[in-house]
Amino acid sequence: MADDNLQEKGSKKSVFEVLSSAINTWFSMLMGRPVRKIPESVKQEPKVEPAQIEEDSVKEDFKKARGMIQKVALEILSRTAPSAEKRKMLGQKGLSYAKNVVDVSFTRKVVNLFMVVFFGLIIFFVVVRLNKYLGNSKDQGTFVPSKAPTVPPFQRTEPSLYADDAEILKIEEDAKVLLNEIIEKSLEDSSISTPQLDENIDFLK
Amino acid sequence: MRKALFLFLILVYFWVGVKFVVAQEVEDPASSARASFDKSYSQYLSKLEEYKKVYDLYVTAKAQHLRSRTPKSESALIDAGQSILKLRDEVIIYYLDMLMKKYKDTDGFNDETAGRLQTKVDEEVKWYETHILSLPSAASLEDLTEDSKEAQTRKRTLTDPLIYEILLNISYAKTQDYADRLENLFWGFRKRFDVIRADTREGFALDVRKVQVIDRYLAEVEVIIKRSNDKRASVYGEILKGKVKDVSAYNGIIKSLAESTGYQKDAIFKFIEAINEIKTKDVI
Repeated sequence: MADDNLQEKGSKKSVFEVLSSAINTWFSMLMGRPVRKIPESVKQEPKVEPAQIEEDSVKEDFKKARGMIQKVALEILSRTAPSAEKRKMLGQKGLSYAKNVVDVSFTRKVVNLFMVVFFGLIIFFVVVRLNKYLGNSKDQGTFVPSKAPTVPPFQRTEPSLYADDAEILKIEEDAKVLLNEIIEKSLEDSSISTPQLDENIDFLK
Repeated sequence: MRKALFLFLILVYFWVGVKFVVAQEVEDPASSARASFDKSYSQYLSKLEEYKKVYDLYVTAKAQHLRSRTPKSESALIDAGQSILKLRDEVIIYYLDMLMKKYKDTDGFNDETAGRLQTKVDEEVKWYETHILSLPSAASLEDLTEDSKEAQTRKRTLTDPLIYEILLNISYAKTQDYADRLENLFWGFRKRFDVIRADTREGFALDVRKVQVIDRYLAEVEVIIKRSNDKRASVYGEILKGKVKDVSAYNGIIKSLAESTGYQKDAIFKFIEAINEIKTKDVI
């Protein structure tokens, strides 16, 4: 462990030295000074083999853990085995009892019938929907749009011989007067509506 | 002698002339009816104003009596009560008279209906006049209350239906006037159109399409006029029953009458279309 710490410290130190020397070199080059050579001791990184050191301890730990787990498992199995056997026996008994009580073949038949009916209904529903959709699409395909109201062709007109007929003009004027009167005049006359009189005059109350 | 004869003739001429002018003025029924209505209406309004003033006095007298209940306050209330009941009756009398004048002043009124309504109005007026005469005999507030209730019952059972009947007849007379005028215009146009259609001279004859279009319009107008008249006839049947006793029933009948005038409007629109057709010619 002490070796590890030393190695780690040494590697950190060497990294720092490399970086600082690199920065110095770059700065010296920038300033035009002679470049200082990196010492050989810094250049050669020490060869370390940590796997060899750690291997023994990890293996031992794994072995210990595996042994403990095996022991615990064996202990659990030895203790729970009888009760598990008991449960299995009980399950088998219950199953056989249930088989005796319920007619399995009949239930199976009912379930089968139910499934058949259910799928039959689904198919029926799908067929009906499809039929409807296809019917609609068929209708849409044969849909004939109603004739759009056609605008009557513009007919140019000019005043006829009777446009200035005095009798016609008089009738037209009177008709327009009557129309205005009907539109504007109300059938009711508010000025002659019933007077508001106190009809409940009582001198005693 | 000749001069005397000449002067005599001139005097006779002026006398006859003046009498003719006066007779014309008197015999004009429209202006006479209007003048009569105007007079009756102003009398009714002044009576209504008087009623409002006396009603305030009655309210004050009643409040004082209810507060003090002394013989003096009772006597004052009896006086105020007699006045208000008298004026209430008088307002109804003046109102009925004004309504009848209004009916006779409305274009499209019917003489027979006017006579029938006038008989009913006279009967009501007579009752209220008798009621007014009985009021001074009331010596106590109980008697006056009894008189008031009597008038109230009379108004609700007989006077109100008569009032609504006259009001509805006034409205009906208006629709009758519209119907008469529309029919006159329609038949006047039809007559003129027949003359024009019969004219086969070159340049005067209407083309076949034009004649067909006008015929179609006139047929439609005739149908709409008939529909309007049918509606009016059914409404008049309701009015004749004289069973309208309140505003809601009155409004219902007015609404039905308005439907008939709606048909009349439609008929006139079509009629004007027919007139426009005859006033124009197609350019080929």
